[in-house]
Amino acid sequence: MTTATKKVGTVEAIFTKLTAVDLITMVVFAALFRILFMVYKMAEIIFPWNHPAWYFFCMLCLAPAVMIVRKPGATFLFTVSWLAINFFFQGEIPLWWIGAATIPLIPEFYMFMRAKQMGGAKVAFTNLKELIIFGLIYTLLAYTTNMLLIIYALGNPMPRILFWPVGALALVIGAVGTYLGYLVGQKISGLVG
Amino acid sequence: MASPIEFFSNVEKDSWVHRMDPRVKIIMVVCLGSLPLLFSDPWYLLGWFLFFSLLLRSAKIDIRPIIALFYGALIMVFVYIMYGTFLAYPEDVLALAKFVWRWGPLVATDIGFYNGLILGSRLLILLMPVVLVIATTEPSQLAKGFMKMGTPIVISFILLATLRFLPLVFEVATRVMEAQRVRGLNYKTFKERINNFKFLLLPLFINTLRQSRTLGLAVESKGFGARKWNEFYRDFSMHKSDWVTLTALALFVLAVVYVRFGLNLGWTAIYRP
Repeated sequence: MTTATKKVGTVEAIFTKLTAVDLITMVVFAALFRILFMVYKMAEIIFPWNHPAWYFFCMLCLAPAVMIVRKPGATFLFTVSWLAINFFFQGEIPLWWIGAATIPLIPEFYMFMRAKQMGGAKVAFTNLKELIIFGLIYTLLAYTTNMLLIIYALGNPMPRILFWPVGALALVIGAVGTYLGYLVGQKISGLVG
Repeated sequence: MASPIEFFSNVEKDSWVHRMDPRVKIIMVVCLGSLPLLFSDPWYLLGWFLFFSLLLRSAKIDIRPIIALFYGALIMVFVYIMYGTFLAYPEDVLALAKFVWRWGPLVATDIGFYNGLILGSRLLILLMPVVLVIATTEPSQLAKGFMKMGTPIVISFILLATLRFLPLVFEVATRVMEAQRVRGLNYKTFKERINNFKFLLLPLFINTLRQSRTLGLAVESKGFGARKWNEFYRDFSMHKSDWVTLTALALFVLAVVYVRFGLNLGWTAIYRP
């Protein structure tokens, strides 16, 4: 008697490695990101000065999430989660999902390559230097797609002169968020297990 | 303590939208969530607002428990109005303005206010079809709808978990903040909010993770890892009324696209610097 085995593609194989606990962890961190940003917004700091804070909270939550899950595909699912939150609770344009879903691809690929070189995803995802580079790539791509949405799709009359300084600030703040997220990740990964 | 937004308070009601197949709702929200962006004329935007208000009313949605969602959108509208009003327009645009107010480097114009109002109100309008769907559908039904449309189980699970966990995280955050207030921490002034923010982080992260990961283990123990959750406890299928709604939706989309591009109506120039 032979046992039939189901063949899975490379992309499917990446997601097969993620358990329900991993998926829920990513969703919870994405929800934390949106809630923390909402709490921050309650301080009544408005656009464009609130905009770099978006990257701070994003990286503050993404860094510990990938440190806990430590598997390829986790960043993509984190992004899908916050996109879903934006859609369900903010009414964001569904067509924009196509653009925004590409944000995590390059950071994922970078970590995948580094994990191969460093001898495992667990080593790469807990290395501060790698996390900072990963965070900077993610911030840069997220900033670009966010600006495309804000300026071109929603037509926000943001002066173009602010585009570069706000972007530079977003990168710096994103890196700070990654560093703090790393510290939070170190603390909670021990507590959560 | 209850969440400040009771996301699913309207799910148990009965209306034509509640009875609709989740797949039709998903298609509807994608269409209706994109079409208003084709318009910038305030009268047409008002038309969209009234149309969505009618839909919400016909779906018997009580807006009060979810009003906080709209407050968030209103803040964005305010930001857009402020931005548009005080935008540094060139002199040739300022010459067209009927009202100009100068204070140092700040220049407010009626053209800017009008622009900001148009752009901001589009954000508010986009939220309405989404509210129509999430307020009338159980998250699990919506996830099943996605799965039946061919979305991978991982993504469907993520969408379901998002709908379930955002209220949970919101609730935990409110509980932690309330507990801190009882212990003497204040969130009244801006400085207090920023300073006390750090005390919110760790308890929020740890409490939420502990609660949710237990659920993850339960899901895993029910065979989620095999990725073979293809049968549904409460299955659904397309009825005649769903096909009628889909046809009406398709005709509506065609009509809107014709009005906008065939008749070239509904667009006024939005000034972009």
